[in-house]
Amino acid sequence: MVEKIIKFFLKSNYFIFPLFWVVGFIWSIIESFTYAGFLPGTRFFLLLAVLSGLLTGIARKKTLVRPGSRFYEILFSSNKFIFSILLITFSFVFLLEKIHYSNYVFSLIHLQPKLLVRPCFLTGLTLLLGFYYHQEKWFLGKVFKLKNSLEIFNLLFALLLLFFAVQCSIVFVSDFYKEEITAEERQKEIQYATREMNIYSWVEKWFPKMKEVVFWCNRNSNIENLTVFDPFLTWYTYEGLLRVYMTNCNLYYVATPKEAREFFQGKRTFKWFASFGGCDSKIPPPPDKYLTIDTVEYLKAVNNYFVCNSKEFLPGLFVFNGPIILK
Amino acid sequence: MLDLNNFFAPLGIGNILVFFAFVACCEIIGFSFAKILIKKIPEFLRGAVWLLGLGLVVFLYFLSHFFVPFAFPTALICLIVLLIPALKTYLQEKGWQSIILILRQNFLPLLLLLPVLPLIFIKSSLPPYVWDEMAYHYISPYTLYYEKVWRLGSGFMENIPRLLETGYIFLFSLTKTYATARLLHFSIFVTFLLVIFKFLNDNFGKLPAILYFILVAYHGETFLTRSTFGYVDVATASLVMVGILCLVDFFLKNKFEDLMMGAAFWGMAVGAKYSSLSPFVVYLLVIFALILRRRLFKRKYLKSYLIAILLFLFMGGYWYLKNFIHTGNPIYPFLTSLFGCRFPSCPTVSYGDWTLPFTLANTRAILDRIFASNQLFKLLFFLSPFLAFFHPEKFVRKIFCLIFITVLVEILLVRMISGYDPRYFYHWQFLSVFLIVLPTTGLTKEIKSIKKFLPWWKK
Repeated sequence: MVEKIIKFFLKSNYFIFPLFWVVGFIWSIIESFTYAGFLPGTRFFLLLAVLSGLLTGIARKKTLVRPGSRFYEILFSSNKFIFSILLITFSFVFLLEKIHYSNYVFSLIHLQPKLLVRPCFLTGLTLLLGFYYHQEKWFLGKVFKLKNSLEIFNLLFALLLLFFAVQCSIVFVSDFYKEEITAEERQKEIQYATREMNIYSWVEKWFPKMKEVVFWCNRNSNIENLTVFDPFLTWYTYEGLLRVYMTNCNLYYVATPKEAREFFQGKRTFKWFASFGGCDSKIPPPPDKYLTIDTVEYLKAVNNYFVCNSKEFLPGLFVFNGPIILK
Repeated sequence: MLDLNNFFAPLGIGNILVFFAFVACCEIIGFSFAKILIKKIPEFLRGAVWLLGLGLVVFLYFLSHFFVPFAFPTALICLIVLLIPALKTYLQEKGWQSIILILRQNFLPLLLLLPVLPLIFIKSSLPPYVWDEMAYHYISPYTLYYEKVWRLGSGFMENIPRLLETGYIFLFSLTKTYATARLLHFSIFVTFLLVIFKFLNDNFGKLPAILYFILVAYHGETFLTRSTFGYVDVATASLVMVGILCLVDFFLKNKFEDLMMGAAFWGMAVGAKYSSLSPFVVYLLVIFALILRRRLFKRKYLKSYLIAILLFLFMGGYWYLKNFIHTGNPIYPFLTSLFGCRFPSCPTVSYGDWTLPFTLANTRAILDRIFASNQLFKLLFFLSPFLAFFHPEKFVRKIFCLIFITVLVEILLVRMISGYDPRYFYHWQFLSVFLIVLPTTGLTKEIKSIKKFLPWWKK
């Protein structure tokens, strides 16, 4: 029963496919003379045509049904000519518009070369299906001694892939050496790799504001705890990533209002802390109800309070000996 | 006290020698381990056996850090403890012969990488400079020497699987520079390329193998540059792909070696990053379906299944075991609503917060990214199903369908918990190229026949 239904469906598809094909083709041709979206459902009809075309392929593969539609045969025989004419027209129009203007207003012939791709694609696929279906051989098939017509398309596909692979490798290798970085940055990278630049110069280059913190940490004769309250340093600036260069410091980022409040209340003590910005008198002290305020805003207020009540030991590095205001 | 001047040195002869000695040790350990447990190593995976050694070394290093700091002596002892017993098996089995053979067979793809090596050398020599590698992938010299044991808090970064990062730390402790860690990442990617080259060459012909190698190595996503970063994404996707290849080989040949080796590589992949969990779940579903369909639930295969589970656990599954013991949720802090956690408050993190949702409206943007906005690439991809479907070789059609279906299932699964971010789905880019080159199977002979029309070729 199921097989009968499938057979019926596939057989009727020999009529459905040319129907969708014709509608999809006419729709896409009209659009190429007007503009994309001029007719509704162009893509839909094209998709239906491709899908039903694939179904006929399956039918052939499984030898379920024999072709029974004259309409279908006419389509295949006429498609060869349509495809050739369309491909030539497309290439000609594309070149012509490329030389002149690609804009529709300035167009010479008021055809949309880009939109012609759709009927080209449809006829190309149908051509492929036709060759597959009728097991025909092209000139290329005879030259390369291919077993069947489908291998011609596989071969063409492989040649296109080879072309693409060669193109990719040439483009890649040339682009690989001119990445999206400035010439100066590339020069610095080469200098570092060839040992013309040492790690201190590297830190100086990439951490202009926080470099002294890294160097101070490196000079320490004891391990020091270094705290960061500044949310800008914790999350938003590249210079906050100095963490990885710490040698003799235990760097700790305070990331929640709850923790910050513990420092504020004296439950946790600290001496050294790093901040990207200086004291800003306009920022009010942190409020008591820290849960109602945004984390970043709260940490900003806490950091500002500590900065304003500390001594700047080095650029970016502060030493705190001030009072604790909240209990 | 520590001096910055002693750290982050660029690549030099000393560093490179230490790195190759490390890879050689991993090769010996991995080979012996695989020989003892699996007996017959699938030929296409021979070049990737050193990754098993890497997995074991990292596992021991991971265990050791529950008791001692990371520093140099720990790393050296871990290596020696594994190397000495492995050496005997390696010498008995003459493991060097097969690896030399594999390197000879892969001479052509290695040659193709030559033009990019100068820049790889420069990029690998740099101290930490990319955002996330500085934020959490790499540790500071201070942490290396002064962190006594693992700090297992309730934070996100403290509980994610860090197999590759632990490998980086291992090399950092040996050489005091991340240049060797960058080389490690690059080597994992190149190993994957060589494995897939061998696999395609043996099963599908030279043409798809060469095409695949070029199209992935020289992909617009610049995997080669990214494989020198501290980010673990390229290496994770490489491990995922080796796991998928094991599945394809199992699908074709029904050999249990593939199943066991696959479990080891999937263990490493999921131990490297959470993002590999989605393809892993699909892999499990497919493997389960295959085992059911082929009626492989038999007592005589029980040993192989047990070995596969053990390999998975030793190679990377232990990160999930650790998470389960410590937090009560193996994938903490994800899906805490499902698994819960041991802490008073269970934070929930979702990938969906910073990724592009899988919707029809975003399809074009996602496809653009997968194909690096290359129209020809896209066209080739959309033509490939048509050609693969009508391909004369039945296994080509089958494999095409298998991969296509696994990706579709993965999309259906992953869209519930995450959106699209290229870094988490590099394996789709690798798979898309796989699908594109499949129809060229068996055409090597025909391409060679072009020689007839090129008279200078014979000279």
